[in-house]
Formats: sequence, C-alpha cells, structure tokens
Amino acid sequence: MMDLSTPTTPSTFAPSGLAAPRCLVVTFNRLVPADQGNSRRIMQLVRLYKSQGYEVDLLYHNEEGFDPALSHALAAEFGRVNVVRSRAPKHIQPGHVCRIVDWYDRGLDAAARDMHRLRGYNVVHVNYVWYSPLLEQFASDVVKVLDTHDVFGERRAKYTAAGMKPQWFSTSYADEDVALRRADAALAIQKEEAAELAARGHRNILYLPYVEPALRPFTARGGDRPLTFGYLGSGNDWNILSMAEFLSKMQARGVPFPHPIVVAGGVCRHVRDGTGVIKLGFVQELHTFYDAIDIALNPMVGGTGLKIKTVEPLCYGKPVLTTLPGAQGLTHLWQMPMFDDNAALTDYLFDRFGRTSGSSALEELTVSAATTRQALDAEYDGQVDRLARWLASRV
Amino acid sequence: MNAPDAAFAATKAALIVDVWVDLFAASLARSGALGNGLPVVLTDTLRVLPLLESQSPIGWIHTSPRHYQDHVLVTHGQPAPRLRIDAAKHPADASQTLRRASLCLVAVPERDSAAAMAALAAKALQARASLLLFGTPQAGGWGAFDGLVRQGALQPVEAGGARVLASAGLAGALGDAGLHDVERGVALAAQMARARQADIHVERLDQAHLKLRLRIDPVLLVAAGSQTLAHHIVHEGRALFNSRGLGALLLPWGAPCQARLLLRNVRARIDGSQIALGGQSLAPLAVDYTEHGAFLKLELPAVAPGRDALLHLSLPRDAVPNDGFCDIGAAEFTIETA
Repeated sequence: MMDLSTPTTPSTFAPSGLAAPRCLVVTFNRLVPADQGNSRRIMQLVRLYKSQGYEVDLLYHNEEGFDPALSHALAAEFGRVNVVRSRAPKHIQPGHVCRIVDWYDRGLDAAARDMHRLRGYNVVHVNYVWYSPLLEQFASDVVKVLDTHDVFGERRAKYTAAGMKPQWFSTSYADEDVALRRADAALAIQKEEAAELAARGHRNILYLPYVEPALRPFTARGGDRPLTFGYLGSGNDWNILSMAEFLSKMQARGVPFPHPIVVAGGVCRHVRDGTGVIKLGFVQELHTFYDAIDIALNPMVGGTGLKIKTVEPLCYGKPVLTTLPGAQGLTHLWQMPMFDDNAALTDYLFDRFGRTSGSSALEELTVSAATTRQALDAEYDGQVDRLARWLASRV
Repeated sequence: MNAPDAAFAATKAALIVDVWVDLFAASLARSGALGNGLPVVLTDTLRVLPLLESQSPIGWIHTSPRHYQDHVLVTHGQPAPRLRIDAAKHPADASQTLRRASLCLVAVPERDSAAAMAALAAKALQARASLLLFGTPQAGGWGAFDGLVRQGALQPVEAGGARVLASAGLAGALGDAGLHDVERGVALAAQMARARQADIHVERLDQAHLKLRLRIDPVLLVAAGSQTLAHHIVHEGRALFNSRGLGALLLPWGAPCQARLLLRNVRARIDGSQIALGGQSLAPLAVDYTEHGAFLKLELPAVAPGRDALLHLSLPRDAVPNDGFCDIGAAEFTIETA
C-alpha cells in the first residue's frame, strides 16, 4: 500500500520556491481523534492530498463538538481551520425523505468564500451529498471533489426491507443526481456504488476504497490462550440486528461453541449474555481488541456505505469471516470464505472449529487474509494513482 | 501656527496616517473596486485596519517575526486566526498571496526590513496590484523603495505630514483632496453604519480633520501570547485574559486615542492594574464599576513608529477568578485626526 504519511510527489505541484497547491476540506465530523468510520475516511483523503503535495485547510461545520483540545489538534493537522456552528434545519419529510436544500447550511457559504479569497484554493473537497451546494461558491477554476461516503438515493428502502425504521439521511435519486453533477469528481467508496452511480448516467465517478495502513503483520498465533473470535461494532441498528441474528443462530445449534467470542464497542449494551460470549464494552484503542482475538467476525445482515469492520481486522493481521453484505464492495478481492447469511456462517464455524482446536483452519485463513490484504493494497494503490493523475491533470 | 506647533502637527499627522489609509482602503473595497482580489498589507509591526477588515478579508505579510496570535470573526462561527504570513519563514506563501492581491498597502518601515519589503511590493506590482506606500517622511526605509517608485510610476499623494505614494489608478481615485478626504470618511462611516458592518461614528471637525468613534468586537483586537490562550479564545469566542490576568490588545490604528474597555468577570478592584504601551507605563483615567463589569478609561499616546500597536494589561492577582477567565466584553476608541 502506498505510504501516505510523507509527501511522495510534492515536486509535481510545488517546485522549489513555489507554494504548495491548496485544498479546502469541508466536514461536519470531529476528525481528531478519528474514531468513527467517516472521520477515518476523511483523514485518509487528507493524507492522500498531503501525499500529493497539497496544503490542506479545514472548514469544520461543527456538529460533533468543539473544544480547545480539538482546536489545538486541528491546528497541528491543517494549514488553516475555520469553525462554523451548524444551523442546518435538517427536516425529514414524511416517508423519511430528506431534501438537500433542507440539510445544507447556507451559513457555510460566506465562510468558504472568505477562506477562498484569503487562501486561493485549487481543490475544494466536500463530504456527503448534502454539502454539494457549497461547491457552487467556487468558480470553474477550482476543482470540486465530492466524497459520497454512501449512496443516499432511496437509502431508506434498505432499512425498510430489513424491517427497520430508516435512519439519518435518505434522499430522492433526483436530488442526489443534482448533487453529484455539482462535482468535477464524485468519489465512491465501493466498487458496486461506483457502478450504481455510473449506471444512473454519471460520468464523473471515481472509485476510491477505504484502506488503512497495515499495523500488524499476519503471523502465526501464540498458544498462550484459547482460539478467540471477535466482533467490534457501535450500537447502531444494523449492528444490533446483525449480532442478535448471529448469536441466535449459534445458540440454535444446541451445543456450545468451544471458542470464546469477544464483543466490543457500543453494540455490547444490546447483546444478550450467553455462554462463551465475553463483552468488553468500549475499547480505548483498537489494538487492545485485535490483539485479544484471532479471527474477526462480521455477521452483517445488511447496511450501507463503508464496511470498516471488514477491512479493519486486516490492518491488525487478523483474518475476517463475513457474510456477503459485510463484504459488499470487496467481494472481487476477497480470498477468504464469504457466507450468504448467518446460517451459512455458523455452519462454517461449527464445521471447521466446532470439534477441533482449529489451528489448521486458522492457518489457512491467515494465508488467505494476507493475500486479500495484498489485493486490497494493490487495488487501493491503483485507485490512488488514478485519482492523483486526475488531480494533476486538473490543477 | 509657529514652527514648533507646525512640526508637532506634522509628526502627529504622520502617526495617524494609518487611520486615513484604512478609511480609503475600506471605501475602495466597499465600492467593489478591488474585485475578487485580496487586499494585502506589508508591514513589520503588529497592526490592524479594522474598517478595511469589515469589508474584506486581508492578507497580512510581515517582514519581522511576530509573537502574538490574533483573530478575525467568522460568520456564524468561532474566531479564526488572522492570516499573518511571516515572509522570511514562508516566502512561497507570501508570494502566492501577493499574486492574488488587487491592492497592496505598504507600511514603509523604520528598520532593516525595508529591502525585503520592497522586494515583496515588487511582486505585488508584477501581479498588477495597485500599490500604496505610506509612512512618516523620516522613516529610514524609504530609500529601499526608490526603484519600485520609478518602476511602478508611483505618484505622491497629499497626506498632511505623512508621506504617501500610490499607483496612478489609486492616485486618481484619491483625487485632489488626497488621503485626507473628510467627505469620503463621513460618507463611508454612514454607509457602514447603515449596513451594520461597523459601529463607527465620524464627525467632521474642519475641512481636513475628523473625529472617529469606533466600537469594535474586542475579539478582533485581543492578542494571545501563547497557543493555549489562542485556542481558548477560538473555542470561547471571547477576548480572554490568560489565567494569570495578563492580556494584550491590538489598538486599531497607531493614533493617540481615548479607549474605554469593559473588563468582565474581575473579582476585585482593578485600579492598580499595570498597563503599558510600548515602553510607556500608563495609568487609567478612570475605572467605573458597574453590574456589567469594570469600565476602564484610558488616554493612549501614539504608537511609536516601528512598534507593535499592543496594549498590555496586567490585572491585580486578587481580581483574577480561579474558576475561569476575565475578558474584555466591549471596546470603544475615539480619535481626532486634528
């Protein structure tokens, strides 16, 4: 995977004596610490711009709090930081229809214009389709990038299909199409989403997956503790539903699974106590969770957007067993087993790990996890290169 | 007027030149004459131009190191650091900013930084920005600008006791009245007050002199000497003293003036505060204690050429609360250009 921690090609844009090109990133997310999936995705892009020689400024639309510590942290990360209080009305109409005009905060316009006048941006990068109206504040000489994070057109349907109440933002295809057309490039986080948007007639879609740098190698497990499975997730509806279904399928087997399953994160509050299930609750640092398990589980029954729980274990040298919805966007690269549903996942678990120590199965999974990681890195590097070339051609 | 009086008047006129520069530049920005370009100020001291800033963001380029962080207001948001570029540390940034300038105001310095400043001003000229050079006639740095004056065909402008040179377009806009155009000042103040862009009252004293009263959000003036205080100011959006009761306030312009400051959250009498401007210690004219806080009235001398326009206040220890910060809740400045 390309190392984005240090600028690799600043000479492309910033020959000696010339100022670096500038990018304005606009977000409502609290970026430091980046402990949410969307914050981490945004910081991935920040690192990407920096690796291309850009100086990155931030317009923080304060929806997730602001304090002196955050001010200090953001000042260390970004060239210039402006913070605007969110006053977006965010009306949700009957049927859970959200209009972008109701979710966009016009209060951002003046701040963005002033920042641009002071700093002269080459690129403006907004996150989520309802921030796309901001792009209209910039003339055609500024490259406009929209990171979609998810497909929000009729997103509510995915919830209702799973018997859940729609959450957060869902808009019409028409509204989303208008938003996408405001950008010179719209980034899709999954290959399937890129294909879906392209199928709707958009020709400005660039696919950029979410991958984080590898922090742990794929190595053989030490024998000082039992083989351990693990699930880390927040307490959102999809995670609660997925974990409830997975555990009920496990219990329905009638025999206890011989290996512990460690559950961590906000989802713990919603997980029933059961034999072999160990609830850790919130973990301060991800490595404390991943160092305590051998195989990660992702029993997703549905969901939208970023599948961080599927990618993240591969950063910590752990294989992942996932259902198909959990691997959405990654299936073309996936070398480990994938399962149609939680019934198939539990069948596999009992078949391969039910009566044995599972050492040989773990060994096989570790090899295929390493291969998957390599494939992900290769794809990511290719897409980063594509985005970098596109930016270079425009700036 | 006898010779000493005339000399005194000339000196004072030179010291208040930034008031007139601010009025003129603000009127240009307000009229739309700057287009989408940026007004840029080249200086070696810490100053503000509050009227111009009420009309447009300003890029400040410094040719001497600065040690304070000050702030601008962001609509519906937290204060943000005022853009001040250290030209020696960030030459590329300075050049990039100058390339986008439509107006470049050059505060001709007293010290050695004049050559560096002239080189920066030349970049603004290359970028077709209009130039306006101003300072005291005695300023030691004028010589460094001789080449630029010739190259840019800068024209002398009538400015009382100050020396001002401007690009032909600006000199034309200044007209016969020159920089000290009372009509322009009165009209601008009325427009800004109507548009609620600034709380300013301008009174004509005679054909060439004004009395200005400016009420300004003190967040625009407070200067933080440490990163910690700067981040607290950004977070709270208040003109804070630090936890030991030390505060610094940038004065609008360098002219002698009367100041009224509302100090809030002080826990004891502050008559014994230590106050300094440059090397001078000052005593308050009066301190009025009200339910809003303590109103501190000061008679401030001119800021000496080449010095930062920083007023330092040190509150008595027993006036500083243990559970928070004192702040300046309101600030008013009155100056006469006569």
